[in-house]
Amino acid sequence: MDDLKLLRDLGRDLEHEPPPSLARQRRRLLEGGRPRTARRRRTGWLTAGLVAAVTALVVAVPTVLLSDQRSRVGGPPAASEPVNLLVIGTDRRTPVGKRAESVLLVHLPADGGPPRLVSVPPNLLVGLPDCARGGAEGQIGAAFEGDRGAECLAGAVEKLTDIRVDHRIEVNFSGFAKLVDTVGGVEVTLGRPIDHRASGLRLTAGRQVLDGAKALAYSRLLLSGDGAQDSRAKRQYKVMRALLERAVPVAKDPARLKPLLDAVNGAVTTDLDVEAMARLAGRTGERWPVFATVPSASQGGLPTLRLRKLEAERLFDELR
Amino acid sequence: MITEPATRSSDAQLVQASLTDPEEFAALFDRYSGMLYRYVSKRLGPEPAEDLVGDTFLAAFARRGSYDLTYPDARPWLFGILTKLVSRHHRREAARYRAMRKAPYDGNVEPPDDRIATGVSAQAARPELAAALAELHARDRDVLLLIAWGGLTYEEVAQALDIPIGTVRSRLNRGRRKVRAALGDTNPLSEEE
Repeated sequence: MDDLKLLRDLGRDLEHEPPPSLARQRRRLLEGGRPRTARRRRTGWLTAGLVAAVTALVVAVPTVLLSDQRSRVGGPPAASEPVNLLVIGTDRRTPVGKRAESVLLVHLPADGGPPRLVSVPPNLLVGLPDCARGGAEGQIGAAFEGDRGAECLAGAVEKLTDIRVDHRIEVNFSGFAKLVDTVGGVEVTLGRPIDHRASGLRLTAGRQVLDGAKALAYSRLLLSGDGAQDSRAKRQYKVMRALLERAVPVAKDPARLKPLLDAVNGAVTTDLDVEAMARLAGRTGERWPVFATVPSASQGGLPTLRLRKLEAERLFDELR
Repeated sequence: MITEPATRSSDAQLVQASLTDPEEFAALFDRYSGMLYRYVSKRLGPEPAEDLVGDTFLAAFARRGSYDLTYPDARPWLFGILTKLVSRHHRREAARYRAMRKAPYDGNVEPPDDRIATGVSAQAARPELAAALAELHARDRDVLLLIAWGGLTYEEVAQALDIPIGTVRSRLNRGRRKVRAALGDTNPLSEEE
């Protein structure tokens, strides 16, 4: 029997399987090594040239444009209270009218830490507020379909999470595609190629410019499997960031500003005023957000998801 | 409704993508954290393994800009970083092997005298193996274990440790010689492949 074989056998005896807690190290990587190595700047995402968080993007596209035009941005942002935004991606294709296709709760912590993005599956089964159509219990997305739209959906999210929603930002997908085209497409880099039969979206790996339709399809893609909502939120973030990078130079070109403003107005509806947007954009700064999805489980064959209460409570608790 | 990526992208492609989109780097973690964890757990046990794997990826992320994109496979690179981190724990590692040296036999294992006749099992040979590992020079041990426990080829070890392949061979031979000597050189014919 040879020595290498004996060594390998010994190795097998000594080997341990990776524990689930190894996921903590992945988080550490994504959060730039904060928990263990208090301030190891050079290793984190933060120094990686990221521009802003998804909120900043939805929020900052109009902000940059408007502040450029009117110079209304005030002094440094005051970080005192946490701010929670609800970003709703909407779709007008259904016969019943608007539908909330993606729902994102964005939490900006009071301490200026990285934004927390919590994706809320629209088909999550919850107790609905009175403003919602069709009964006391239903899919959370249904709250959006009544007369009070975003306001009612915000109410449903508050009821679910017990977290105050300060502002609502609605981005409609068709307007969004036009916005992307107005800035001449967005540049993204894909680590893996995409070949999605249902949507017909095919993209190669590597750097490329996506037009409005492709950027939209890419953002909306909901892949199957664990973390699907998470990864969709990440893609949306990626596209938003790319959009911001493109939008800034366009906004500075007087000839292209007007069409851009029109496109922004066509894509974004919000209860935020310009000053508030500017403050929030400043607060989200350059920090890479932390993504999560409301913990849920599918219910054999049903189109709805059931809330996993204990885990969800733990997540909401961190944001309260 | 299911998306299958047409082809799996190479590690180098992921590293490159992570230069503009840091999040892509997490895919490397998903690919290799388990493998690295198993490897460290053999050398240092499960307690420090988790942090060391995390440290390895943080360090790799920090220096991904200098990754040589002509190497599609990032494993040697990651094992190289990990090896440096493990070397900070060499006392702990040696102590661990020494402790195994003293560990009593498992009741089911044949007594030592029968070993030569029936061939040694790793379990029976554990004290000798552990003693040999404890005595090895750190450099020789790194090479030997990257091959035996990390599953790397000679070329990959050379790349991981940034040493010539001839050095890999000589360190491996020295390590194996010592291990065989500790085992009582039961099979002198297995001198070299």
